[in-house]
Amino acid sequence: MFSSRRPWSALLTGALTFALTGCPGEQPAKTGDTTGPGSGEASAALSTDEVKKLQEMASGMFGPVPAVAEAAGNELTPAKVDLGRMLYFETRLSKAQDISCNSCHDLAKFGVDGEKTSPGHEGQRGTRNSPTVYNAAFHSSQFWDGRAATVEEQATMPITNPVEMAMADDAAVETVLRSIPGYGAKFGEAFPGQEQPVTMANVGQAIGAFERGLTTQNAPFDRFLAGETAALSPAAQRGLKAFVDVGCIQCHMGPQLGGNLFQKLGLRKPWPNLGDDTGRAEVTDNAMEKYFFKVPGLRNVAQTAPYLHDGSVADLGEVSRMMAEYQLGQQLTDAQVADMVAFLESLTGELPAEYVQKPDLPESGPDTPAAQQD
Amino acid sequence: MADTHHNDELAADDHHPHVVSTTFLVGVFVALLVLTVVTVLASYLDLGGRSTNIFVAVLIATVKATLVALFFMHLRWDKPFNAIVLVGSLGMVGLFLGISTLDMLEAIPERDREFSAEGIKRARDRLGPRPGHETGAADDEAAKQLIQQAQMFGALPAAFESKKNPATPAKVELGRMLYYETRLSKSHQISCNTCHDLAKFGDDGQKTSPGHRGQLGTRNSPTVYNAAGQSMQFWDGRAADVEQQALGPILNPVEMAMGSEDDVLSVLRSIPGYAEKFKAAFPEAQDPITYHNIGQAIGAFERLLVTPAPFDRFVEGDASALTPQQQKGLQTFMQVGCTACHMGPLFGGNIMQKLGLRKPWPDTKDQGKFEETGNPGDKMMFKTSQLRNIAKTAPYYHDGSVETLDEAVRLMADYQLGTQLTDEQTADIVAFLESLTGEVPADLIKEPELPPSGPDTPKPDPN
Repeated sequence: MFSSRRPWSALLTGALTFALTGCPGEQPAKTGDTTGPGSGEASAALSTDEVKKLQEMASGMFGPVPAVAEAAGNELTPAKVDLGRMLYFETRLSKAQDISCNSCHDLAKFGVDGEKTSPGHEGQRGTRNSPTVYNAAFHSSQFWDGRAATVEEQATMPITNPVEMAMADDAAVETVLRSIPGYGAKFGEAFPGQEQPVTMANVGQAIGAFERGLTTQNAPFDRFLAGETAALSPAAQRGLKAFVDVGCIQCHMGPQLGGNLFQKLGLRKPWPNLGDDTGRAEVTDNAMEKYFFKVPGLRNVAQTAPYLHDGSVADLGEVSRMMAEYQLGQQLTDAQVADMVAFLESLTGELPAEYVQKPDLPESGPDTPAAQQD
Repeated sequence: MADTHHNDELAADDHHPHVVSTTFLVGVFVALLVLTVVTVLASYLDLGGRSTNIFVAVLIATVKATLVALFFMHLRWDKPFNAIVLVGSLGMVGLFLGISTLDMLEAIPERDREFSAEGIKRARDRLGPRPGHETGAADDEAAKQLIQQAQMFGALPAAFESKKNPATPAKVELGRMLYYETRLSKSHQISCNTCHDLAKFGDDGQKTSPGHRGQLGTRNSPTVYNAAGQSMQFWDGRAADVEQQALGPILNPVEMAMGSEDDVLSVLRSIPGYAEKFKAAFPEAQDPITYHNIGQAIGAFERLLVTPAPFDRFVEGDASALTPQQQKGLQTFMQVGCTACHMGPLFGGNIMQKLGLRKPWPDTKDQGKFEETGNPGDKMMFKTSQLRNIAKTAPYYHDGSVETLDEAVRLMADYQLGTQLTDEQTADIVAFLESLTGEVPADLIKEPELPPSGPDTPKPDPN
C-alpha cells in the first residue's frame, strides 16, 4: 500500500534525485575495495589533534617490546643465558663445523642473513627464508608453518636438519658437546642438579634462554607510543594511520605487529607464484590450511629483507603493496606505500650490542669429532 | 465580494467579460474539494500495486489542475494558443514523471519502494554497481562476478577426511554410539550430544552449558557441525583436532566429570555390547578399547557432520540460491573486511585472532589463549569462530554474552574492524549469514540403540 504521507512531494523529490544523480545503472563501479583511506589524498601532515588521537589508539593496540620474553617452562639464569650464547655461536653443532645459529640468524645484522633462503650444509639451500631471531621468542609459534611452539623447541631442529646443520641425530650432537672439556662445567652450572646435563633438550633450553633476551628496544615507534609524538616523522605518522585504516592490523597486531597467528597467503586473490609450499597444511595435514603461514612480526622489518616465507620479494614497498592488494583487496597509492614504508622503518629498534657479543668458546678435546664435509 | 473582486482583476488583464456565474464557480470549488478528499482516501487503498495508486493520484490531480485552469484561470474562454502551451507543458511534465516512475519501480525492490530520497539511496546502495541498465542481463553479470569472488572461500567438502584417522563404517557407527553415550559421564546423564545437540545445529543454545551437577563452564559450547574442518578446537585452540577435543570434556570435572581414563575404560569394558563394536572399528588392535580410540571413533563420526547450505549452491553457480539482499550482504561482508578472519569454506575456524583488535574488548575476564600459555602476545586471542549455521547457534562469542546475530555482527565490525555498520548493512550481513545455514545429515545423526549395561557397570554417581 502506498504509505507515504505526501505522495506528490515525495515523488517529486524522487524524480529530482534521479535527474540529479543519473540512473542507477550508470553509477560508477565504486566499491569499498578501492576506497582505501587516503587514496588520492594529498600527503599533508596530520594535525596535532589527529596525531594525539593516533598515539592514543596505537598505544592501546600495540605496546612496547618487553625487555625479556619470560617463559614459565624455562627460568632465565645468567649461567643458562651465557651457555645459550655460546651454543648460539657454536659451529661445532654442525656436521661441517662451519655453521652456527648465527650463520643464518646473524645477530649483527638484525638476526638474519639477508639471503632469500640460507645456505646450509655444503651450500644446500632450504626452501624458506630465515626469519629474524630478534623478538622471535614473543611469537606464539616458531617457523613459518608454526611447527615448533617455542624458541626452545625451535632451536634444536636446524641442528639435525640435513640441509641445514646436518648433524646425524641428537646423540651425535651430545657426543660433540661432551667431548669439548669446557662445556661440561657450563652445562652443570646452567642445569644444576642434573646427573647428565649435556643433552639435546638442554641445548634447546639454553639457546632458548639466550634468545629470550634478544629483544630490540627503543624504536622510534616505541618512543611514539610512550608519548613522544615527534619520534615519528609526518610520513611515518600517516603511514601508521594507513596501516591501521587499510587493515594491516587485522594480522599485524600486538607489540610485535604480528607473530601470533596464521593467515592464508592470497586471502583476497590468489598469491602469484605460490609454488609447492603449502605452509601450515604440511604440518597439520588439514587441506583447509593450505597456504597458511605464520604472520611475521614486523619489528625491524626494514632491516630484514628479503620478505615472505620464500624470500621472494626484495623491496619493502613492494611487499607492502602486495600485502594490501592480495590480502586486503586494496590498491595503495604510491604516496601511501611511501608513508607505510616510513612507518615500518620506525619499527627498527636498538640492538643489544653487549648482550650479543660473541663469547669465547672452549677448545675441542682429543675426542671431538673432526668436521665432515661428506 | 471576494469572487467578484477576483474576477474583476482577471477581467482587467484579459480583456474578457465576466461570463461565469458565482454558483458555477462555487460548484467547481466543491468539486475540487471532493477530488482532494478522493485523492487522500485513494492513498489508503491498495488499488493493485503502487504504480496503480500513483496513476490514480496523478489522474485526479490532472483533473483538478484542468478544472482550475479552465474555469478559475479562464482558459476555457482564452485564446487557443494559450491552451496549447499549457497542455503541452503539462504533457511534458507527465511524461517526465511517468518515465522516472517506471525507472524507479524497475530498480527498487518491492520492500524499499518508499519514494523518499533516503529510500531511493538505500535501494541503490543495496543494488550496488550495475554495469548496464538492462535488468536481466546486468543482474546476471553482477551475480556472476559475485559468485567468482565468493569462490575464494572454497568449496565445503563432503567430509573432513583425515589420513591419520581414516573413516570406516564400523568406526563411524561406534563414534555415533559414543557421541550419544551418557555413561561416559559420572552421572550417566551427559553425553556429547547434551551440549552439542545434533538436532539443534550442534549446540544447546545456552550461554554456557550445564555439566556435572549443573555446574556451568566458562565458555560457550560451539557447534560440532563442520567443526572437524577447523584448524584447531576449543575457543583457545588447545586441541589440534576433533579426535583430541572429544576426549577433553569426558574428564573435565565441570563437564562429564569422569575420574580418570581408566574409569572411562572400565565403564565401556563392563558394557557387553561394546567389545565387539570396538573390535570392528579397530580390527588391527589387540586391545581396541582404549581412551585414544574413543577419540578416534567420535572424531571419525564428527568428520562427517557437514552441512551444505544455500551459499554452497551459490558458489557452484546458482545465483538464485542467494536472495538479492543476501548477495548484497555478501558484498558488504567482503568489503567491510570480515573476510580477514572469516575466510575459507567455514568462514573462520582456522586462525586465532585478538578480540578487541581496534579497541579494547570491554570484558577481559577470560583472556583466551593467554590463560593457557601465559604469553602476553596471546592476550585476548581466541579462535575465530566458523560462521556455518551461525544464525542457528546463538548466543555468541566465547562467553555466550551476545544474544542476537545483529548485535554480534555490529560488535565485530566496531571492535575488530573499526567500522560502524549502518542498520542496513547489518541487516544485509545477517541475511547473508542466514545463507550459511545448512542441511543437517538426518540419517547420520539418528540416535542409535546403545548396548545395555552389564552386571559390573558402575552405577551413576550424581555427586
